[in-house]
Amino acid sequence: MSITRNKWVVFLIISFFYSCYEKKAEGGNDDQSTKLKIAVVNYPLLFFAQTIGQEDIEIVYPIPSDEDPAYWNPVSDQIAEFQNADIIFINGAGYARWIDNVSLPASKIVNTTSGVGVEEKFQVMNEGPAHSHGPEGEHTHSEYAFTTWLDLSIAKSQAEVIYEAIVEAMPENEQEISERYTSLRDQLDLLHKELDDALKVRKGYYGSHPVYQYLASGYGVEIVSVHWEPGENITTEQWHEFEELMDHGFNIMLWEGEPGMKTKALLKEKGIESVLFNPTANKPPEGDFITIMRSNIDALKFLEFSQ
Amino acid sequence: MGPSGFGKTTLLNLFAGILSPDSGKVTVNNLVVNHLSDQERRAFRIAHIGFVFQDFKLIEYLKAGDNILLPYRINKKLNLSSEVRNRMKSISKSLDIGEQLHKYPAKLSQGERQRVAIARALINNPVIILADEPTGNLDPANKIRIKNVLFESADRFGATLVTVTHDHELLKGFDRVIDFQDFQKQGHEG
Amino acid sequence: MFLAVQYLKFHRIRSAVLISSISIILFLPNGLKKLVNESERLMLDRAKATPLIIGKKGSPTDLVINTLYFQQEKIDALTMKKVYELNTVGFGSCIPIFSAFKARNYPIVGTDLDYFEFREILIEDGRFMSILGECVIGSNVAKSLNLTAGDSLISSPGSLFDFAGVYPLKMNITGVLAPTESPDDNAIFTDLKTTWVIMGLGHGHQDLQLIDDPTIVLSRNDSVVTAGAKLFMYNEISNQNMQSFHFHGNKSEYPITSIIFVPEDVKSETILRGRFESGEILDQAVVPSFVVENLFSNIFKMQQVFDSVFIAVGFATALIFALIVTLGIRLRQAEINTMFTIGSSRTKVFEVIFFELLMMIGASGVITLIMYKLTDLYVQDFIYRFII
Repeated sequence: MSITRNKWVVFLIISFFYSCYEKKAEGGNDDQSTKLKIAVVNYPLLFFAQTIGQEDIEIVYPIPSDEDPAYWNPVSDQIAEFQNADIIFINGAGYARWIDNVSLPASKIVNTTSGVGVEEKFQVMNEGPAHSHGPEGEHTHSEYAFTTWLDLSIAKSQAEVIYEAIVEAMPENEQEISERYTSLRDQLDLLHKELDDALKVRKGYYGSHPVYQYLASGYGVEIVSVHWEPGENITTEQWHEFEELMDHGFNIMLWEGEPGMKTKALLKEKGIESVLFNPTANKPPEGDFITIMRSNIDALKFLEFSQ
Repeated sequence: MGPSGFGKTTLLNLFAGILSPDSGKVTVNNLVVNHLSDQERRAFRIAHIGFVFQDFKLIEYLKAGDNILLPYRINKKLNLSSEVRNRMKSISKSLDIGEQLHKYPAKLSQGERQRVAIARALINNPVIILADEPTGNLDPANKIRIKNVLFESADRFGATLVTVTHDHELLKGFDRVIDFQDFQKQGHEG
Repeated sequence: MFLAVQYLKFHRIRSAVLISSISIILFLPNGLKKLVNESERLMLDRAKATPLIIGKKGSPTDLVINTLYFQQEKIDALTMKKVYELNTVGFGSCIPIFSAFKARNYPIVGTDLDYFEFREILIEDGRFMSILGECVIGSNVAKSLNLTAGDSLISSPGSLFDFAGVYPLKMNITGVLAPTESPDDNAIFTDLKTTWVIMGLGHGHQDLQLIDDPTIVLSRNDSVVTAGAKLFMYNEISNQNMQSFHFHGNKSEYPITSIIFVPEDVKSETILRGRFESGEILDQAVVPSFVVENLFSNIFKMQQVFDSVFIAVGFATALIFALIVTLGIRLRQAEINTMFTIGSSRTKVFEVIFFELLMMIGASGVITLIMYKLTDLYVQDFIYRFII
């Protein structure tokens, strides 16, 4: 009798633990199945999506932090990650040329700059000389400038597109999502005003690299750019080319990253201060989009006070 | 014997019960044939009569062996047993056509065809063999051969050989020859 | 029965001819009917699974046949502008189709990955395409050409349209699709952009800035570089040269042959169709099932004519058959007499003839049944291979 009773006890204990395991497994599956999988092509979009979606979404972003997302090229496995996402947010304006050369399901692609009035703000940028090699005659591989988010009014539009897409996919969470989006939008509005104030004190700036077109167009300032790399000392030839641009008389050069000491000194001799203005195309080692943009604004303001 | 048109074939048909006389009776083996019904006459023919025709009348789509066994194929009352098949082989061998049983009639010589016809006539152990101009279509060599075959078969199987012919050479050896012309002269109607 | 069998064996050629004739006459009307009915069912199933097809104004039948069954009937091309326009309307989603090229006689269908989700097509071996120049093949294509993931196919030089140039491209096969028992099994699928590369709208070539060869770079100044025909255009896309591939011109002007439109709901579909019919949106929107039903109503009218012809032919065949039998009996009079003489009934030969007829008709019946069975087994394959 006692053996039979013991058997029943063991059976019940096993059943209990088994049902706990099943519940856990089911629960685990539930978590994975309700999260929206969102793939993005650069950091600003990642930031906007994460801020708006938070724990309701799972981000797909296989781009290494030391690569420029605009020029990154995925391999098959990474393309498959994008293919399997629920929504793929692209920047638009030709950002990330790899998109043109891969197969992605069109129904999942959301172009964050396809809103009314946004495409009109695109800045044309010629990347290479005109050439001809066939019946179509002379042509350039000209493109739009694509760091659209640097005009924070465009960044706000991009965030709005992301918000609308997430809400459409997860209407049951609309309230929380809307609250997060509203908070983000307000922050972007504030930054936009502050950046406008910080940039407009001067009529123009030099750009170490042609990535600031939307600062120029968005805030009504002139930015003349060269092709210099942060951390590298410029060559004599590059300096001579720059000397021809000095007639503009600007006294600030914007840099994506910390410039080399020699270059900085050379510029300073000519009365040109180097200011770090990080375009935040990729994930920063510290901080986020908002804090980085705030740092950019603060760097401009600091110069204003110090000059 | 007699020339054409004298009723030789008709006489054989009367013996076989194929035709009935306008008057009188036809008695074969103590059986009044013309008093039998159609079915009884057929049974009588199958059981007692073997036919040999002038033009052999083999069935073209049956092999020689099947031609010989034809009586057993066309009458359900006869049982095609292994004993019958053995008898067929034995008769064929005795008629020197044992090796031709698998051939169709078109592949046989004239003499072979007639011997197949004779074997067919003998397969059911007939009491009477009725041969209608059995050598009519044969060349001289085969005529002699077939004549000898007929006589030997009749002797071996104890059958009465009745033949109608206008071949005088064939008549030698018969116990009785009736000349239709003489018969007519003597006032006996056919 | 033995005699009947021997007779048929002896006259085997005649018997075979008669049996075949009867079998064909028995099989043809119903066999044809089965073929037509099955074709209708398969085509209609496919058509009903496709809500709307948008195309340039023209023959709705050609549009449907081109889009659903990948038979490259001559139709006018749309442009991607229509896709962008319909995507903004908001009544559903577009799946563009560009079917104008072939490889080894199989149609190349340029489309979007959404197509496979729409048709619920799975990969059996390998994976879907990732980059330009890759393709996946239907199960029948794989079987008949003995290809698998990892192999390659070269597109043929010709095309459905009179393009200025068609640039054969070596496409890498990344996967074989699971069988679908549909025209998808007989097609090669690639990304829409890959078909535009075949058309020459996109290409990859050596970087002109890096070339010194004067026979390639004909002239160079600060603003323009002119290259000659010797400039090598890549005819295969790989991870190494993919970055050099680019497209010229405005993508909204790029051609497609049709759009499969998947409406959100019935109301959206109705409204959209109304806009096409009223001319508010140019071009045509067709409901494929309507087109296929209309097509088959015409075919059924033809079939009624064929049925009448078959009845007449069948009657004539029966008469000829009766004549053959009657003549046969006459020719077999000697056989009848021989058997009667030997001891059969007068009706014996007629029994034999009856059995012969019975066996011939029986054999015809069996052959007809076998043909029906084979039709059941292979009619779908036949239809997909030779009809749609």
